[in-house]
Amino acid sequence: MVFASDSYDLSALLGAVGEVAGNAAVIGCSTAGEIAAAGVSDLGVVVMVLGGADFQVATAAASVEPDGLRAAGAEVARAAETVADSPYRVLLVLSDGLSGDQEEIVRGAFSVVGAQVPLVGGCAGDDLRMERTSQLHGAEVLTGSVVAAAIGSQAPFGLGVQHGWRRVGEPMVVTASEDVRVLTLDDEPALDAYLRRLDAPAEAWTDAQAFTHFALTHPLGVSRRSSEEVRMIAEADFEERALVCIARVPQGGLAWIMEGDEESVLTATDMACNAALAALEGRPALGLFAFDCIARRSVLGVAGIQREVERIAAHAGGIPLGGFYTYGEIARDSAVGGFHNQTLVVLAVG
Amino acid sequence: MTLGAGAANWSTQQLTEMLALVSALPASADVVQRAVEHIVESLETDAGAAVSDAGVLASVGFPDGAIPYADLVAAAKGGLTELDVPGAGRCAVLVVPCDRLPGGRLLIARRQPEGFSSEERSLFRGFARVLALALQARSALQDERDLRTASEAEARHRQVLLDSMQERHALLERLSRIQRSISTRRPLHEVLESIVVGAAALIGDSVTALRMLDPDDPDLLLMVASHGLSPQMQERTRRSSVGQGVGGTAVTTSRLVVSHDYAASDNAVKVFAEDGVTACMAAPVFQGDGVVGSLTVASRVQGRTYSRSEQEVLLAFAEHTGLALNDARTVAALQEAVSEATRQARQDPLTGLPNRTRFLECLGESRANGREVSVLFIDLDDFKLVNDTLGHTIGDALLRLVADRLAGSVRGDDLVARLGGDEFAVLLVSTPPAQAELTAHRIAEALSQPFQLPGHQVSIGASTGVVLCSGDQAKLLSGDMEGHSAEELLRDADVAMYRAKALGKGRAVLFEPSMRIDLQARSRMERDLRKAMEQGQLVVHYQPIVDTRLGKVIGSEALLRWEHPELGLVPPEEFIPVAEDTGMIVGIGRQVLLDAACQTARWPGMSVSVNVSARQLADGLLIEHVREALQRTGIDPRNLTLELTETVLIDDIHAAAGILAELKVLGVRIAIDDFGTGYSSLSYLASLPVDVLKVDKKFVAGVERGGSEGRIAAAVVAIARSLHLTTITEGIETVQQLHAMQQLGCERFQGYFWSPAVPAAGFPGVCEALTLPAIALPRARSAAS
Repeated sequence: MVFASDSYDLSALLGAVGEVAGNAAVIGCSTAGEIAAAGVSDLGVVVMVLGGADFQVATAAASVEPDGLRAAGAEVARAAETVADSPYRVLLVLSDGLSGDQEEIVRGAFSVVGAQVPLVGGCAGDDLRMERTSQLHGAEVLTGSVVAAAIGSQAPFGLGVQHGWRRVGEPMVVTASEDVRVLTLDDEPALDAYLRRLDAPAEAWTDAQAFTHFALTHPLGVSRRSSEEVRMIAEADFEERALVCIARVPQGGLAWIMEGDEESVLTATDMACNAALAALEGRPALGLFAFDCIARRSVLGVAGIQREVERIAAHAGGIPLGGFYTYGEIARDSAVGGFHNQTLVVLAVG
Repeated sequence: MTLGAGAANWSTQQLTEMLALVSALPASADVVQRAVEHIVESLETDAGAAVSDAGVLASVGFPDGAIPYADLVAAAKGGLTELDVPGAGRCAVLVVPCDRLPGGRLLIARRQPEGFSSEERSLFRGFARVLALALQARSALQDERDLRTASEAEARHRQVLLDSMQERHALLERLSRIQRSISTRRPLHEVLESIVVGAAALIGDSVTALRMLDPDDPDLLLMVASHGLSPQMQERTRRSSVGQGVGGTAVTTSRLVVSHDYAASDNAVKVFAEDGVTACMAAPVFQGDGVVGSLTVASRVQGRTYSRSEQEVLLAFAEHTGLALNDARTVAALQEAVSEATRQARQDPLTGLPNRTRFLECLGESRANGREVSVLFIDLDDFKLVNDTLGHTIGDALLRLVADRLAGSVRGDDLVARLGGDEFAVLLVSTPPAQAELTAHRIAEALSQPFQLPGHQVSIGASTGVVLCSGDQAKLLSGDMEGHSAEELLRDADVAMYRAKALGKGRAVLFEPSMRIDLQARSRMERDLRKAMEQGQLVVHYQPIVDTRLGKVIGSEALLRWEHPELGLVPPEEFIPVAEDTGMIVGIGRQVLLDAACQTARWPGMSVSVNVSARQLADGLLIEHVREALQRTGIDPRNLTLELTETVLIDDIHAAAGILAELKVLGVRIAIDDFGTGYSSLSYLASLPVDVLKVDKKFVAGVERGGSEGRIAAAVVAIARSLHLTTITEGIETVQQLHAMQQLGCERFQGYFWSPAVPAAGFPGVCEALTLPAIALPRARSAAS
């Protein structure tokens, strides 16, 4: 598994990895920051290697055609059939968060594997430029694609999902939305309603970059049965006065503005790790994967993010830890929906 | 009473979201698959499926290639309550029907032991409803596609597509508004209003009503919100029985009830039919697994029918309504509102007194407990006059003062209620009969004292009927299946009040069983009277009106007579009130007008006076009937005089003035009968287009003795003269009376002194006999008249 800043020549990087790893199956993606036991890196590379007789791995890649998100998700999920003999399975999915509604990828994958195989992973990053992300498969550098690794094991996997955000103020009704675009809130242009409610700084009203930075720490929350889901606001459409999110914000529902602080975010970190480890049914973990939302970096700041990764490493207790900062997280098992924003997803390998 | 933030209102959002989802799906999308996915994601279940007679249509949660088709079909049909879902183990199954798929069922499965909450069950049913709605729209499109053969069909297809999208968009918008009103903590009445207004707008009908079960009485429904009903209609239909009407039937059957020819349908409620409702449909409103009310839409447009699509929209909207109302805080607010409606339904809003329903409940309870009870039925005298002359505001203030005085005239344990209009009732419990009668008199005394109202001092009085019922009797009677229910007791008191009124104002009369017999006699008379009309037993007699100055008969008063085959001639004072009460007087009055005009046309130079009753005046057909009589007979309108009593005019002076003005346009003359016996208001007399004042015979009888009655007769004549009105004196029986009235300046008379009313055939002979000397000289008095 390769998680690397796209400031590298990723093709060359994969070549180098291949030289070391030989015939090992490789998947990976570009990032917005990398996570390892040693701490957080920017413009770095993290490689996690999984091996041994107890593991079976199959990988797949699919290009995402327009309106083909679901098909692409289904296609890569078929890799799980190759490892069907293993008693425990997980499908690790890395996708292009800039290529439309990522929930559709999850739905496509789920339609193939059903409740039997948990889905986990994240959307590739591009160091917050929000322009183009890369997915890695074998020696190939892809974009607008989804790659996956089906991992079969003799031991269980554990999944932990937490965000640490909480609602602020009164809810707003999503009076008009089209997939990931929120057009109006309470019948008011969504961008204006959002900025006014938050008393946003002047530059966020006009400057795209300033808006994206501001919005990272002020996501939208939507209600789910057992929890609230957070929706990261990727950009503002200053012309249509709309908000563009990373995942669908359903029309007709209620949306809250969410807030978080270092304490709540770090508490969520502990909870996600604990949940993932607890799911191993008492067995020790061999390693941890962490898929952490880029927005949490914005809340925690440079020092805070180091503290967060230190905490994850502490939970790992010396075992390998690898992951990256994402543009959206994937985690689906019995208790959680599928695609997440502003969330930490932890996979413990038993 | 406001609602909390929408945090708890998760179900409503989920349903709205699903509607938004299926509305936005392109026509090519597999709507069933997408719906099942949404349901599984929304309810966070392990698996879900849609099954129809054709097999498994969609499934979610099972690995591709390992979908347990046979188990899903069996579970959908109720054959399996658990399913194995790979990765989730044994799962509990929940199934709901989905109408638009033949034999359609949706099912979801969740790992044990979590199961499903009642809110989730409701929501799942709502999801199925929304899917049915989407499928309905799609099936309309498909039908259209199948029919499509030419380019104009293409255009039609686009129109159908547009219509269905607009329809769903409209539904979505309305649902969003409801959601918003809940989430933004709007007061409950606004939420409920957004529901009834929303339903009206969606279906395009003028009337909607939301009814909820009465928490205190599961057999009753309370209308908690309505749209397009007058306040009077709201009041009249606030409570209804479960099972009654289209809305009540939707509750008992838990299904959509549609009535296209409303008036003729078994479910029709009379007041709605009378209010012009032509078609109606109602959908049940669920909370959890149970029906808690109904949402009804109704139209007043002739020929209105509800399309399948409209039926689906109402069902979906009602489903959503149930979920919206399921919100925990909404439920609390709603219960409060229903209690308030219950209280209102038992309380008169004007006076705050218990209403008829509450009164009957208390009466029933007291009797069931074997208590000695007395019921006083109180009807205010002359209230209508106050209301009409001083206005409704003063009238309402007066009713409140009356309520206060009544409450002050009884003990704390007794119950005072307003039955409606100017009718009140008092329930005295464990009061000896003598004490009850005393209370009745105390009340009469209290109400006879003047009332001080803003700017006016008003004197009224009350007529009271009293029923006494001992405890033993109560026990005895409560088991009496022939009916001595609380309603019966109140009716007996009403009968006694009626008798009190007939005896004169300000009286209290104790009920006697014979009065009930009178009532029976009255209903027998009603039956006979109808037969009399059909068989021509009602005939018109004519009493001559003479002019002593001219020395001849100048006309007649037409008087109705009933020649009963067994009872002989029935006195008018016995049957006219029955004809009035039943409304038969309108038809009878028309016949009298026609007969009188027809006869008078045969008697050249003669005029005729015809009596007009209150009911005729109020009916609205009087002018038409007069015009008809004039046209059919060709008599000079000036030869037709319509006689009205001042009581009739006073009842609604404004309406009366308008009708009299129209009658004057036809050219007929107007006479006031019995002037001086009632209010004798000079101001109204001067303001109405009156031609003739008739002096009542009761003053004539006193005129020869002198005294007050004579002075009134003199005053009436003087008033007539000052207003340039003609007088006709009735009831002259003696030459002394004649001379006395002549001395006052009167010239026109009628009475037995000359002739009783005679059949038309005998009238010319009477006129002939009444030549100048005969007019001057008394004739032999006839005993029969």
